[in-house]
Amino acid sequence: MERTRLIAAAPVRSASEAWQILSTLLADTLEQSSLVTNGSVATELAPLKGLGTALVAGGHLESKGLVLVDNGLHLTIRVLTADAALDVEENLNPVPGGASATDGWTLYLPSAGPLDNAVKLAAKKSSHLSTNDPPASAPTEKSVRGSHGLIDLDALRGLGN
Amino acid sequence: MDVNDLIKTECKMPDVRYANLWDSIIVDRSIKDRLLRSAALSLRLRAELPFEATALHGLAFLYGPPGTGKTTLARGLAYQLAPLTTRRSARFIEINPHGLMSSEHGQSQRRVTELLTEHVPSMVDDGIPTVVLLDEVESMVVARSQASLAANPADVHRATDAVLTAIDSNASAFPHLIFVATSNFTGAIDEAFLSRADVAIHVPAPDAAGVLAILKATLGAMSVAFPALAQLSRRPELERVANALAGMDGRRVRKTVSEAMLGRIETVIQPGDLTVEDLLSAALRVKQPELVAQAKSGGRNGTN
Repeated sequence: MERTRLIAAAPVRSASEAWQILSTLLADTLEQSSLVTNGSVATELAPLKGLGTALVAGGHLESKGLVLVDNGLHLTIRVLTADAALDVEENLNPVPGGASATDGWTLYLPSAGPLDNAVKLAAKKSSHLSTNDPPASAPTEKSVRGSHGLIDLDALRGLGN
Repeated sequence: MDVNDLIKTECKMPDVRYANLWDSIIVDRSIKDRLLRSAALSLRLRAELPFEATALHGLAFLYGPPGTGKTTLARGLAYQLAPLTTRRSARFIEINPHGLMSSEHGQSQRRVTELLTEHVPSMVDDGIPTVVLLDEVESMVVARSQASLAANPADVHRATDAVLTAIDSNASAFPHLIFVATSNFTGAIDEAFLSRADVAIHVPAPDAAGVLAILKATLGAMSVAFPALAQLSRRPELERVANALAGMDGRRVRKTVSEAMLGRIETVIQPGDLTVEDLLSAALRVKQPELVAQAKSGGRNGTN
């Protein structure tokens, strides 16, 4: 399911605070999964330290935003400024679907004009960061859809007619 | 109202508080079989096939007169489902649909969307099969074709749209999620919602045999405190009481027992002294208003 989360930056909060909130939202969402270890998301986002704040301050996350894609997860996070920031209704709770995330999650970074080269260099430092175009939808929820299923057929047979 | 406050209940099965709900409702066995099988089949098919193949929304709809046990069956479903799942566990969530509706412009839609596409999916993110009860669902999916112009129809449309959109998106994204909706007023429910129901099950008022079973079960349950009632529950004359009450809903049949007890001060003091005659008198008392209403209704029809 495609989801969008909006975060307010200036004048509601500074660019660095907005980036911190965005990073926390990503970590809270992905680290619900047993396959994503605590603290690992912050480590993978470390190459964006400083750069993330610049992306927010430059308004590069206003229209396209960052896109997190994983098993059953397609999340766009946009950071709004000016009048739009004053009107935004924020939902900073972990995003549904995070509990079934895998260690193959990818955060797609938008093109950022003069910061493009810096973004590409940062993306090369983590296998979880990408400057490619994000896929249009999330991969199928493999954790649920699969051969094991949800129903125990032997138990079902026990119901009889 | 915070969206958290719209969740009346959330618990994981097996939970002993839910153990007897299913059996406490006396209806034709086929009703329970259909409900349980439809839930199991929905989980089985939707876990393995995409929505495009199954066209299943994970929505069961129970309808019928009030007091027939629809809500109790829905509350008991997760307990029955738990042993059939590979995890031997199921979750039950009950939503307060009345809290979703707001007189503030646009708020109903916002609450519905937040609750059904964000909050509930977050609660069920662990993949455990989950039954979500939408009791008295007519309050959240008002028939748009009948929406009154005086009742802010734009908001009614938007709230109903939001429910439909949420059910569509959850059907595919969360194959372990099953909604059970109940209603006494099928005519007031939006047609698009009804068409999304994978199964629509009528839960009727019990016939004489059903009433007899309910009476026996009620007296049997009370005999834990008043053992003499166990003997009364086996009396063949109870059939007369059942015949007198046939067609009444199960809830009122159960209440007839306490109505019979309050008929005499002796049975208020010692409920175990209840007799078939007490029950028959009570049956006539509780039936009387209904008969009068029917007679009046028939009279009006006759003059028109």
